Amino acid sequence: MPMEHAPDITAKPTAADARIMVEIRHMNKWYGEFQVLKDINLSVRSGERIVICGPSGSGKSTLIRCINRLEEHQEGDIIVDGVPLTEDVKNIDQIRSEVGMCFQQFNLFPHLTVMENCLLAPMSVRKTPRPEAKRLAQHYLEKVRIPDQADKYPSQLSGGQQQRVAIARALCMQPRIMLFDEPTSALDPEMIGEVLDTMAELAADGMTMICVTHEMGFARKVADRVVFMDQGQIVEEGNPDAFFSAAQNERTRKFLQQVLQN
Amino acid sequence: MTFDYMAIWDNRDILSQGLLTTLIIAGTAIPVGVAIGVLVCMLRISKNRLLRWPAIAYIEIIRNIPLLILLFMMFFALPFFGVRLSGLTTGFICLSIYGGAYFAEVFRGGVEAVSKGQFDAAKALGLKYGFYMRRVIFPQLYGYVFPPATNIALTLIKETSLLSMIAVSELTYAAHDINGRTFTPVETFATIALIYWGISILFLKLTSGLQSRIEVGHISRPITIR
Repeated sequence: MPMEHAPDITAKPTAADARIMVEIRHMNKWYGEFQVLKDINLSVRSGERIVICGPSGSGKSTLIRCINRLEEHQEGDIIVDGVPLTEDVKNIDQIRSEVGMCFQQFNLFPHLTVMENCLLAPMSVRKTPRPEAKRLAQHYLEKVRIPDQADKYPSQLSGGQQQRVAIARALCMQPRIMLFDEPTSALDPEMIGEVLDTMAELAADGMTMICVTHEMGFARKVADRVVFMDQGQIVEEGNPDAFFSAAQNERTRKFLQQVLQN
Repeated sequence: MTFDYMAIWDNRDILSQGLLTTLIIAGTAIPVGVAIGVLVCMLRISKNRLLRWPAIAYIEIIRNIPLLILLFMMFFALPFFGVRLSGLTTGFICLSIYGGAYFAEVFRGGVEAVSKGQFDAAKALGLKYGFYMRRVIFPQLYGYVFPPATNIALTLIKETSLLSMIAVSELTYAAHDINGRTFTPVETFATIALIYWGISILFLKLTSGLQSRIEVGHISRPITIR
């Protein structure tokens, strides 16, 4: 499995006394009549790495998309780094500038170079002067090991490279929290490793991360907590050791059986 | 019959004056129509009903009325409400709002063709709506909207001939004028048909040159923010 290349993360910071970065309380969401999220309660502390897994259609992506308001929730509270997520555009803007996100389809801007992709948000949202934004971008592109492709267009890069650029682009905003929405699901198998390695390094730096992924090797090695969702509910959560060896819930065990077989 | 070139040559001043008027009207109504199109498109895709509904009404009304009727209403009916506009002004306004409705729909189609993920990424980065529409979404839809928008512009160029009906002395009106005095319908109308054809071909050459320069992914414009 790809995780063999990942740096060993032995020193997990104790999250017990860190402050709460994301707090979700009794959150419900409907698409019309259909309830996609049911009474979600989740709190994520600073520096914690959460992996959310579950069968498709269980609401995992919808859940993390609610955290930066790409989706609206109808009931309950979401508080991100002390800022409550409401209709207030100022709050939404503030939260989005503190929360980075990577998508399954990378979603790089195809008409802009790698460098311009990385400059757009810091320059327009943070008002970072161009030279400084460029230094920042160069730093993060080096971090994701794409230093020499800055002037290329996304279409000239491989899928794995594109996803790493997308990670760098998000990091250029220097977010406090990173959301990953199935970042490796659209990748060829041989490119999954490089993206997971990048994510593992980010985790090692102490980034607060919430990842929706089916990569159980990544979950086992990097996550502080694994959250299992089914039919819009959080069915079970626990540290990876307990989760993988002694899942309490029948649905969880069934899911794990299926994904671990592969 | 013989082809009477002299009837055309003797009236070349009227024809060139008409051509100039046609070019002025088309040359102003198309850019203004595009501007209206962008504006109405933005309203049309808004989530706010108070913005969206007027845009839908505008598009549906204008698209479903013949341009000629629009011209007649503004030129002959509006004076009853105390608004008196010259034929040229009427023609310019009508063509602009007529084109605007079509441009708006083409632009909307383009915006909808840009993948939803691009909006997600722009929002997730914290970019403001106006900024990401301008810098992320619109540059990507040139490729989608350019061919249909060119078609609309071409139609507008040719529809300027309808302005002859409200006594704007553009090309078609000039032809009528010449024909009325010389009775050379074959020569006159063949000539202006050729002129319209020439304008259209030139216009298409111009736009295809422009299009190949702004194909998606090859806009080599450095970022400048405000």
